[in-house]
Amino acid sequence: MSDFEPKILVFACNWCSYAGADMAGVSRYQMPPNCRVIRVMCSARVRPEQVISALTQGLDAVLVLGCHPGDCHYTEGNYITRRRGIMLKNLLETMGFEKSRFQVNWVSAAEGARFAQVVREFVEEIKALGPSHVSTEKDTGTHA
Amino acid sequence: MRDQLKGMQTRLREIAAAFLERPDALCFIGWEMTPDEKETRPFFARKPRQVKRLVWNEMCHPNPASYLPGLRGSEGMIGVAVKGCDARALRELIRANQIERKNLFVLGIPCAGLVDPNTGAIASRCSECQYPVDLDYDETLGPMETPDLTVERSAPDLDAMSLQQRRAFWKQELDKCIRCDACRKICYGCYCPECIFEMSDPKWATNRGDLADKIFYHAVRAYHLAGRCVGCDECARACPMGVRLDLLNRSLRDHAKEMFSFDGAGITDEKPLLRTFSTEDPDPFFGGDK
Repeated sequence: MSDFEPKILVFACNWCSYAGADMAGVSRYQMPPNCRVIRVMCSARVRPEQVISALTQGLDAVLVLGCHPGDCHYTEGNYITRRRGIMLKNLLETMGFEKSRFQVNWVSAAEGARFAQVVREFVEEIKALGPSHVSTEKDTGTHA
Repeated sequence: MRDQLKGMQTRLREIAAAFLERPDALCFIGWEMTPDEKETRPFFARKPRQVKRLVWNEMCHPNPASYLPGLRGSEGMIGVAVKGCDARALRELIRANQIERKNLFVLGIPCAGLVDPNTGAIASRCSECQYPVDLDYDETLGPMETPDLTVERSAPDLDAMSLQQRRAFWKQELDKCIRCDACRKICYGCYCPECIFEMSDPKWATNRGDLADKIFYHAVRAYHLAGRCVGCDECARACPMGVRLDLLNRSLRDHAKEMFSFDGAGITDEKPLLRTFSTEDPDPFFGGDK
């Protein structure tokens, strides 16, 4: 599975993590090209349905990035994300997804290096896991 | 036991008849026997003379409170008979502003456990029976307290399974699913005017019927009930293919209890699970401040 290149979706919040990604870019940190970043106004804007939908439509993993707890631009959005994330992670685990296919993490606007590190580690972890069981087990057109 | 149920049924009919005599009464929701006498189904009594069709017995599985969101905004008082699990659903519906308490006449029925028509034993849903605390009933047929039931719950322990076993289990279960939406229709908590599964733009779900699509459907359905599911297991009972849907909701309930000490929906006036948060919430899976 060494040549497996996962497709990863990253939701980054406008106020911290997206700016962090910008910082990482400006600072010329090397990052793997597996991530597709979507900017959202707040990590709490990410609906659990969007995560589940991504995982069942062939993406290998989803990463949600927000401000550090206590630093949310909207005061409490990331606390809501955290609670939702825990419930969603448990549900996905119960249904047979590996724990690490969905992660939430915190990156502030100043942490360009941290953004690069979080993304690098995440990609390495998913590479080691291999493709998602849903995308590999997908039977096409057999349904009568 | 049988005599006691008969007595309660008589009393239920009397109370329903007295309620329907009121000029402002719209209907009384309870149960009636199906024509084959093997099951019960929900029944809306509108005239006092109809109350003789109302029954109360150990087969009264359906939840009369689940019809209340559909009656929101109607003129007049609605009578509703609730057993323990229905009462939990009722409390959640009132809190979610799906129905106004002042338009309701609530008759509480103490339930000593329902019988599973397939096995003849006490239904497994009753294993987690818990009556709501301090719910305001208009009338009751006895003390509304959690009955002392010992019920074997026949369920595979998903937490003890390996990842591969869980996958195989859900593949086997979801392969049975025919996406008929019975689980969604029967649930007291599925009252959104526009359901995500019916949206065409964006089209979230398809009816392709492959595993990925079914995982999406069931994961989202279960997640939408996180912190709201009252554990009545009606979804599993309504499923024509026997998919163990109750296990998904149950696992979410267990995790909510473990992670956030959440009591369970409808039991107390505790804030809804996902509508609130604590700065002390666990941060076990996240990088946090490494």
